[in-house]
Amino acid sequence: MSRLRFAAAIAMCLGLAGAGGTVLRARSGKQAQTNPESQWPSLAEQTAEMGKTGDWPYYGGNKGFDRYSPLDQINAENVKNLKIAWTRPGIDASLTKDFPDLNPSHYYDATPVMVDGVLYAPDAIGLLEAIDPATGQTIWVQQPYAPTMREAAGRSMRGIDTWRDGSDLRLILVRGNYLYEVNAKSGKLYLVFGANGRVDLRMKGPYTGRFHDSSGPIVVRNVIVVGGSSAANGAGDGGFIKEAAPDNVRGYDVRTGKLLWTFHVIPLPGHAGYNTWGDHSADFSGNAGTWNPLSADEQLGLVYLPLKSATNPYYGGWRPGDNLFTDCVAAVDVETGQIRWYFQMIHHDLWDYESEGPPVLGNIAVDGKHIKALMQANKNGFLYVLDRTSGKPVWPMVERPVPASTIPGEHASPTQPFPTKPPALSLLQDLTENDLINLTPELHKEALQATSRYDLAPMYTPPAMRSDKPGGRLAILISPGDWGSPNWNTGAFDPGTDMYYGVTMRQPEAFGLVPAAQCNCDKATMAYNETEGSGANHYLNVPMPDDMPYVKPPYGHITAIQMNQGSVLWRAADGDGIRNAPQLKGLHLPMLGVQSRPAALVTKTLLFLGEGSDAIIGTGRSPYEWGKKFIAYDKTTGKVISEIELPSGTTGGPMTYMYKGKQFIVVAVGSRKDAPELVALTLQ
Amino acid sequence: MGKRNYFLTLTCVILAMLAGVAAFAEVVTKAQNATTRDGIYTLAQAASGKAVYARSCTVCHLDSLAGGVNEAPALKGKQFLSEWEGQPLRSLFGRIISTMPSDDPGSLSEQETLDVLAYLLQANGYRSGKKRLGPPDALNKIQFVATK
Repeated sequence: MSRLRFAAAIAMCLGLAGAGGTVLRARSGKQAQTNPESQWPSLAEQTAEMGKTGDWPYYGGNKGFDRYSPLDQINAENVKNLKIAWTRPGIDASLTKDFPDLNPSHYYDATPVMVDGVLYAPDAIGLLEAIDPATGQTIWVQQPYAPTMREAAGRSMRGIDTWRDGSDLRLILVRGNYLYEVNAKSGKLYLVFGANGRVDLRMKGPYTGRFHDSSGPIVVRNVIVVGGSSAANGAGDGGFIKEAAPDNVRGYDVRTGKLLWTFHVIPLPGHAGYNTWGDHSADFSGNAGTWNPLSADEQLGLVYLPLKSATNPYYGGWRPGDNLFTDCVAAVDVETGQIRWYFQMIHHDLWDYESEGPPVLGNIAVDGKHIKALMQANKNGFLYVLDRTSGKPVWPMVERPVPASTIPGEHASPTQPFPTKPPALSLLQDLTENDLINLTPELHKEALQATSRYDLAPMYTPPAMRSDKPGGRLAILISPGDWGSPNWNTGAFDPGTDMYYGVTMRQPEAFGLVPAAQCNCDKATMAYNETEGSGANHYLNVPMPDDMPYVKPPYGHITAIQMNQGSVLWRAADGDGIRNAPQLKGLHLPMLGVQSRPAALVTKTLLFLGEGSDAIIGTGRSPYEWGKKFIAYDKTTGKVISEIELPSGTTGGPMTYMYKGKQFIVVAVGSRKDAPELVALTLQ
Repeated sequence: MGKRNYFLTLTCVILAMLAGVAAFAEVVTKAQNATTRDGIYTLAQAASGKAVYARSCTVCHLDSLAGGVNEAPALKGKQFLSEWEGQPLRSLFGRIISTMPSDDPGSLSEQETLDVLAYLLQANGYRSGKKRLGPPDALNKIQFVATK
């Protein structure tokens, strides 16, 4: 047993940590008395309210981010009559008139909210729009903070949250360096919030830079919780520098914007978890925050954080230990910022296997016992199901031996936790030659050739040294890769049937390290890292003719899990994929799934999913790996009930609402060639 | 004005108009025909752009322009070229100046953006010329076409 593991074991014996779902002692019990649970709506009550009002108040639906609506006007019988009701451009014409050079990314990943009969959405540059739900016409557009390109420029955000005090409805968003509150009626800022209407989110300290986030805030009770990062190295998944600023998570007073608390994602000296960073590496390690959507149980007063990996995770010789709270899902007391519990999915990450998708919340019954559950996916393709009150696994997690590292100085964990239930979302976790594409003899031959200088290896095989000698091994090739099997798009839960729907893609990854001397950079503080400084260049490492995939289908699929049993009810490919590629002409193949990132919408009647888009980075490069179809699936069988063609591929998560007696579905679309826009569907 | 002078003047005006139309048509034709293959930047400008790139872009798009860090796309190669094929170069200028760098969009000046654009053209195999790329309005009339 290593020194660190011994220390961890001692800590567990002392009660700092429990088995499996590790529980820290709550450092404050005050919130339970000051905020009785009954004061705050349960998830079920939030969902019921959505049914009554037709609203969609948070971009994940309710605060549990279940992507579920109880609306049922669009059903299996009439969904074939779904038509496009309206579209609107990713940027309102009034903005492009003022700033003609605004040309946003086509990866428009926003999901609108619907409150009190008005639709609100971040536009393609992250400014808010109020939209007439029936026509798509503009009600108002949030103006840049100042009339300059510097303030106008930006990126879309996945979503916003809302908060109200009587008739005062506030829209809460993160944009660039700042947190804003916008008045829902006027589109104007609350100037009393923060300093002159905004809160500066940039952190102070070593290795910090500008603030960046992609998903957006959540409001829990009266606290705005913000993830994101202020690390100068961006997401921290490239380069040869190990020092970085931690992506601490913060809570702000919803009325004033005052900072209430900071949760240190890498423990400070003297705090539990600090000793899981050997050689005092916690003192200079960074990133490790959350960029995925957040969820919360307001009754429990807990916000759930899907935490990511450490800086440049592919080599960890400088950070011996399990490295808490990397790759954890953690519950934080929203009143105090204190951690209540955490569960670590990956010890000492070497693959960038971070939490993916929101921690989806739902209440399930297992063996007659009612459990307030949390379902957290990871890039590795597993779904970790926990009791969200305690962090304890619903089904046992087993620590199993995993391959050792061959890199000098590395401290790969000898074991990793494997969920015994449910089965993995990913169907490919141990890559072998049998998994190479064989849809035609030519493709199989090309795949054999393309992978000939790679070691096809089981998941959790640590990265290997690259050899540039003739015929030498370039890297190990494992599945899932570091874009994940799931990504932010996965996860939806139907509280009526206790079904979880996972959305995953199949995309292995080459992990090959080179010494820092080969990094071609001025200064390196890491001994090794990925060839390009990133593990994200798998297609450059393993090129196939015409960008075809080198593994067998499905390239993307839905997994429907009966959470009461922890068993898979069905799996289904999530789109056409490459079946229409010329290389497969005449084979009459079924849907092969898309190597992309569509997000699901579940309603009382149906499951909806698009086919993703080539505007989404880190997805399949073949022009056939995405599509324009928006598909309605039977929730209990996975069979396609109906499909409608959209103007482009889905880039954001779909949502639904009821307005004046009609149910609408809205989703953001775009592609490399097609400009971003919002599309609304309704029955005709 | 006598009739003869009137017709002379009218003829001159018509000829001048025709000449003007022809000249205008030539300008328009030339403008419409300008493409990224026509040596539209200088080596010095590309060198300046490379420095801006190293400062503001490399962290995500990498020295190789292969991208992959922080969700950055490749800025070189088939997919990049096909994305911009057929569009006015102003569109790519707009994309850069209004979205990059991703953690500080809008922070590059117009000149820095033009220089980065020159560097990207160079990195993608487009030949340099004698005239610097710019000002931004001139990019409306330059079409992005794939390298030969």
